[in-house]
Amino acid sequence: MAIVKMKRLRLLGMREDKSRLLSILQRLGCVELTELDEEFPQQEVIENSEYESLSLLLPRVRRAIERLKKYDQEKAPAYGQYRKVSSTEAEKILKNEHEFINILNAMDAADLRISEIGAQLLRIQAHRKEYAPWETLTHTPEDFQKSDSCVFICGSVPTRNLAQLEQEFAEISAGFDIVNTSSDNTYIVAAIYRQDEETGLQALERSGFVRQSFSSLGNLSPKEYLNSLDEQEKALEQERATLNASFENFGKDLPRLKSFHDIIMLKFARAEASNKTYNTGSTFFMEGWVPEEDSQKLSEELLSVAPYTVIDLQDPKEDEEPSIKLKNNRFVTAFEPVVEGFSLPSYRGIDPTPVMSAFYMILFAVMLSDAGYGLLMTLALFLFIKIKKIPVRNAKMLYLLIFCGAATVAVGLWFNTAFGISPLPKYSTLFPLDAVNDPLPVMGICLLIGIIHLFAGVFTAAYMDIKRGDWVGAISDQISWLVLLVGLGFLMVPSLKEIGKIMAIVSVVIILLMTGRDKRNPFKRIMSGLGALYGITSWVSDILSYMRLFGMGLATGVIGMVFNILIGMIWNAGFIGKPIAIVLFIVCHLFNLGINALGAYVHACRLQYIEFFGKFYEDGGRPFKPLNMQTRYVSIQSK
Amino acid sequence: MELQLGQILALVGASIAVILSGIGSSRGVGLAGETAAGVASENPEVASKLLVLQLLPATQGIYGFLIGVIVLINTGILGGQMVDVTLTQGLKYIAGCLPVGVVGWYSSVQQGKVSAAGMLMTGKHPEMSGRGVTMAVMVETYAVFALLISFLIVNSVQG
Repeated sequence: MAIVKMKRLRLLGMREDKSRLLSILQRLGCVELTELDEEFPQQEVIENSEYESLSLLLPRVRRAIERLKKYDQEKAPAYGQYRKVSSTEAEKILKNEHEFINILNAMDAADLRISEIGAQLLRIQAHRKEYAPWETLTHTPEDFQKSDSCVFICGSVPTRNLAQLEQEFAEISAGFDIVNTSSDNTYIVAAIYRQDEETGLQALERSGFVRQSFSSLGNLSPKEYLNSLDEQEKALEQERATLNASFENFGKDLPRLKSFHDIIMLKFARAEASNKTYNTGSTFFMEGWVPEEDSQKLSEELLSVAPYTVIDLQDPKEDEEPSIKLKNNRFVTAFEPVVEGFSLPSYRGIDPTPVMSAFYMILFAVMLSDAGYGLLMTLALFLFIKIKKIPVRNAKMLYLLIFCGAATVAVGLWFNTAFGISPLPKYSTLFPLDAVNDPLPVMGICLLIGIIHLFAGVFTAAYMDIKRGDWVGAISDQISWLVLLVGLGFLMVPSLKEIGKIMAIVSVVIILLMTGRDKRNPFKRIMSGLGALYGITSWVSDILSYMRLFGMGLATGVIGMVFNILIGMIWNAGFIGKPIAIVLFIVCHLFNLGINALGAYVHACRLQYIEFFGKFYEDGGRPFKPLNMQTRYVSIQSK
Repeated sequence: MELQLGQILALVGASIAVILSGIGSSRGVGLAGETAAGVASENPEVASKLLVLQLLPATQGIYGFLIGVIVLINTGILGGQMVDVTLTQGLKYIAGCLPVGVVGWYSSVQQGKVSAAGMLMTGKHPEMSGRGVTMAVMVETYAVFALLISFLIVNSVQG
């Protein structure tokens, strides 16, 4: 198994069956609906109202759930472990839709009021700042208008102009009282006799006087007004606190709100699917992809509910690109994220996961190369998934790490490291290996792993060519390269030198003549052959790239060793040192495990993506996205 | 204790390895961290993916530290009695420490930049974080090679 074979589904059904059929498709989760061809005329979509109302409601519910996040007592669903909601419960919730709408409305109203209060509080603060300098003034604006002979004007004057103003006022019948002073301004009440009003006002203007009209005072004195502001502020803040507290109450509805969200999410998915159908007065038509293995069951289920449905299943045509669903056994499935992290294969290519998985495990193991770390990682994760009962499809990464960890135990023993200690006695040059004192054999092994890995990639490419019937391509583009490289290898061994020479020459000739086999012009043909031969340099760099296996493995081992030496010193530093050393041992080795497991993961990915995939991989597939029961917070059970 | 010139050179070598690669890693991780914080504030869901990217430029500092400690072990500074180090051996230690120091410095700064760019990509297209990591790891290759050569030189000095 690899890339799941797809069938083109064409379905013609009765309009009255449509919603039932879509529900079944959603429950089975095996059909990806596609947009219809342009040959279908544009139609005004009749059921759009539901789609539109849901597309507005859904984000609203999601925002409400986000808003109530801090009252959430449920743990976020991890590894596909959702809270289950039975179908009867789901129906009940859907029936009480208005209740949830009320909650949303109440929440929106509360939020609106909170923001209004915020604006009012800001206004109060601004007013307080404006009137604070006048706090000691006990007169109301009305008081100032009572006099017939005098004009009273309140306002602020820059303090530096005060002396000048006083002088000018002294010349006419006017005067002022200082109410307050700030760093720059002096707040005054000026009194001018009516007969000198004009000159008095001019004097004020010259001194940079800014008039305070007391427009918001009404008939209160500034002091009373400030007090009333305090009272208002207090009331508003209290109201805001009450409103905020009311969200805690809304929080109690959160679990139901989440169920509601997911129920309408499923409904929205159906409405979306419905938008991809073509409708006539009494029928509807739709197209999509369905995995071949599910197509039989699909037809049966659909026909059993809606017998007047026509289902047509066809193999994909040459120019059609079905979406990609990978299917592998439990071991290989764990490695699918690595492929998905790069790009899915094209439908007519092959799924690289099975070939890649074993190599990935080995590459990871050589780079982590510590039996202790591998054991720790495998055991801890294994217990975790067993206790939580997580199936492989929900936590591929965890399974990947378990497999890689198990391989690390084996490789770690070979490399003779466990928690930075060398547990095994020296037996021979190759077992156990000693990367620190005798690095050459280890480097050789790393390069050998690389060569095998790359050859596997070339073999895969040859296999793909042969499967398509392109024998010539397989021989001239892949097999000849393998022969050339093996031949070059033989050249270094005296006893095989002659064979190596022949192999190299024959393969070079094939590459030279056959790489540009689609070209008529012999000169151009040789040129493209030469170009291909230059590719030998990329082989050198590809193989050398596997030196990182040695480098990363060495890093793990030596860092562990260094930690042990340092911790050993603390251990020997008397009684106090012992518990500290134990704690340090755990912390340091966990750190080393973490950073090197991460390094091993990313470098193993890189070796797959660049060196290995570069040899054969045809990517560019679209992931298969069926209409299904995929939800966000809970798992809705179907009947 | 009177230090020989060779021993001093060995210590200088260890310092070079740790200092240069440490400077580089701090800059690289710092650079990536700033971007991580920025991207995460826009799109908190990808925060955990960003951490992997931020950690990548940290490894060079570890490589430098590694070589530094190997020098200290080989010269016996760690673990008690300091062994004799001739002038030539001391210079060899310095030669061995240079690759991991210099390449470590430069590559982690560059890797930090690639990581930061990868984070911006991850922020917009979370499904492409794997690509971002791969791009950053491309830079790491040269730090691994430098580590290898440093290790081989340092390990060949005494023995």
